[in-house]
Amino acid sequence: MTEITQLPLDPEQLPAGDEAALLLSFLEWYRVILIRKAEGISEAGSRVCLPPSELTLLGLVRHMAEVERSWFRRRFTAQDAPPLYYSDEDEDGDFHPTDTDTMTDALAALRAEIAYAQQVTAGVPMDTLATAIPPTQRIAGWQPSLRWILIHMIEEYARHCGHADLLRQAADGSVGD
Amino acid sequence: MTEPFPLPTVRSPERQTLEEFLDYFRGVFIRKADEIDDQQARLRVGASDLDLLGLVRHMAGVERFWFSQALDGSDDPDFWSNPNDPADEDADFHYGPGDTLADAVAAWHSAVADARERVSAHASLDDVTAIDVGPPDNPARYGPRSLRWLLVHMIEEYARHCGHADMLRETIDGVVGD
Repeated sequence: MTEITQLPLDPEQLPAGDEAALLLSFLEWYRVILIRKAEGISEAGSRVCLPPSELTLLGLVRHMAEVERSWFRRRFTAQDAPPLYYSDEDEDGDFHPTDTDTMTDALAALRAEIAYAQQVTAGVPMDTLATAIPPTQRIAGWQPSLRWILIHMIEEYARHCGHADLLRQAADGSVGD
Repeated sequence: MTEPFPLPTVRSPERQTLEEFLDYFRGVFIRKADEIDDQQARLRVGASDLDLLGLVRHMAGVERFWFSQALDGSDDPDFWSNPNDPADEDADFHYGPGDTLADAVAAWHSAVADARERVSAHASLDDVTAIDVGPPDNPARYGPRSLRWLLVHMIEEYARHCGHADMLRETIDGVVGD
């Protein structure tokens, strides 16, 4: 069994933190909570779902690797970084692992994307705009600020951690952060 | 159906962005409880004892706690109590057979209206809670929380419970999304 990742600094301990400190701290908190929901579980447990929802812990970890990659590589820094799991043939490929895909690989991909995101957001002012303007974006010239991206990432992780709460509890009874 | 709040604007100042995200998720959350009956509001999934009735009661209490009792130090009473156990701190989740979703939703709307009024009366995100809120064994451990902290916390608390609500509502009638 692999070691479980330690929780980072609890944002409770930054009651008067400034904007950047708070947003980065809450985001780090939820990144680790999702990772902890996925650690120490069997490959079968990582594929448990609660129908009619098709969400699984393995799908959620792959999805958040794509989300980190999309926001921080492709949009915030305009890097040419093709999707890891989805394609034109399957736009939800992140949620559709094959029998040979593993949680170990998915967690490694997520950690690599998080490491990149941490590096390109450290010390950057919150009003900084995303570099890339996606041509398909529904609002012309839609370039969010780093502030918006970070708050969005916090709520996206938190919402998926809500899904992960129920999936992990169904898989092996584990609850909490 | 309750109308959704607009998506948060993408290049706004700190306070406006936080308030727009919070309002957006308040809207996502309460719409999960739209047009279901009291029996559906009690449905649970997997091994979890969460349900939409408990979640709506919980978030009504969370709004009142953070914005009224903590931020402004009011003596507003808690919304919910457990008649069988007055010391029950999870009375929001421990409703009785006669408790209704309509009452829970009404309490939530009133708590949210009050919370918005209280927040707008604070000129600065640096304003701090009137009381210390920390670990139960040592509430003063981290000192008072800023309004900035509180708004970020409320966004993630709503979002996580929206994740629970997503799974519950999809199981009830297949409705998904915001």
